[in-house]
Amino acid sequence: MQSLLHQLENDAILLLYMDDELSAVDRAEVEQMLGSDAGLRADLERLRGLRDETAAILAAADASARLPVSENVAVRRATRMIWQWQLEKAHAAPVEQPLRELRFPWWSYPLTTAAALLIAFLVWWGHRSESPPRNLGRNYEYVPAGAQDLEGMRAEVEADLLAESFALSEDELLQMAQNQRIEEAVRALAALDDFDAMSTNSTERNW
Amino acid sequence: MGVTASLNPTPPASAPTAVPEPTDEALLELLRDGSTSAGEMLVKRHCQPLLRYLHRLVGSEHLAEELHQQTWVSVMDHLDRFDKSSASGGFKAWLFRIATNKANDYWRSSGREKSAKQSLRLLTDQEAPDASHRLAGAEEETKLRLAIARLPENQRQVLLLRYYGNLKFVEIAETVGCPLNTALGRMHKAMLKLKQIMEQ
Repeated sequence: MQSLLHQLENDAILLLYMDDELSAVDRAEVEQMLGSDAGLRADLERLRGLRDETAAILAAADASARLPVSENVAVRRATRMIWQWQLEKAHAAPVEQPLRELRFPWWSYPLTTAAALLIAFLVWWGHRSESPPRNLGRNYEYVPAGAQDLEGMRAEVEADLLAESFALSEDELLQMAQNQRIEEAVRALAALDDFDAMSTNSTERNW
Repeated sequence: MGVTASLNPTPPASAPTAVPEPTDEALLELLRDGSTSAGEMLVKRHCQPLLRYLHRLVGSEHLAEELHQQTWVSVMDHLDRFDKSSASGGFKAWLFRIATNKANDYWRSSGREKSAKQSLRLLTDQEAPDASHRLAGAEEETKLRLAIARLPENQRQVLLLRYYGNLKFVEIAETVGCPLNTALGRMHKAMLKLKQIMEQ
């Protein structure tokens, strides 16, 4: 590290030297320079005289001057401000609530929330098509989607079975099934199911 | 009672039989813990040099008193930021740094030129002693006030921090925010100029 002496001017070095604010190494170097340089010694004496004179001027002026306010008043006012500050701080400080320990690990709470939201979404998605549309058009005749789905599904199942049996393409078999008026057969089967149910109910009542 | 400061901040040797008083840093710790009496002791300890410093710096009794109070409020506000291990010069240097900042804030907010004019007007009109009190000492005091007011602000700050704050030059440079060489140069010029004005 470069010595402080090499960064300062002579007067600055002497000011530090006479007030003992140099490091031991720098001080020794200055003393060596003072020993060999009479001009520097004279500068030191001049600065010392200037410093003492300035201090004397200020001290004399202070001796004849009163403080802006009496010391007691200044102390009392400043102390009152400190006291007021402490009081305000004490009132402003919020009551510290002890931290409540969590029953489960902290990460389980957001995870559970996310899982619940996912389940809720899946349930909603699953039931979405079954609920009737709320806003129907004026000239729209409502047909429950369930019946159409059921018929379509049955047609597809039939087509799949036939495809497996005859190893034909699905579209071709679907066409075949439609040509054979399977929808009418399905309706007839449904009517038969209703009939069976009615007859079972009547038999149970007779018993 | 005058301020016992000199332009050499070397602390005076204390009497060996005297009971050691708590240091500023110890009192500050107590103040942090809520002790108002520690605060009072600190205020008492630094009241006179701090008031005189502010008075000489701003040139107005009323403003000096106002800034003195603001300085202590600021000390309380930043109590937790003071770190005795890192703050160079300890509590006193820190206190004078806050006071200097308060004075600078005031100048900035009110306009330097206006403030300087006001200070000089106060010096010459309101606070100059009247004829009944015009003694030799009072004249010297008035002359000194005018001389200090005529110093450039940066030189005045360095001189007053040295004399009233007893700060080392390194601490002064840090307080006013300039290189050490500059602070020393300002000190030298301030002393020369003050002597020159006082001899006129």
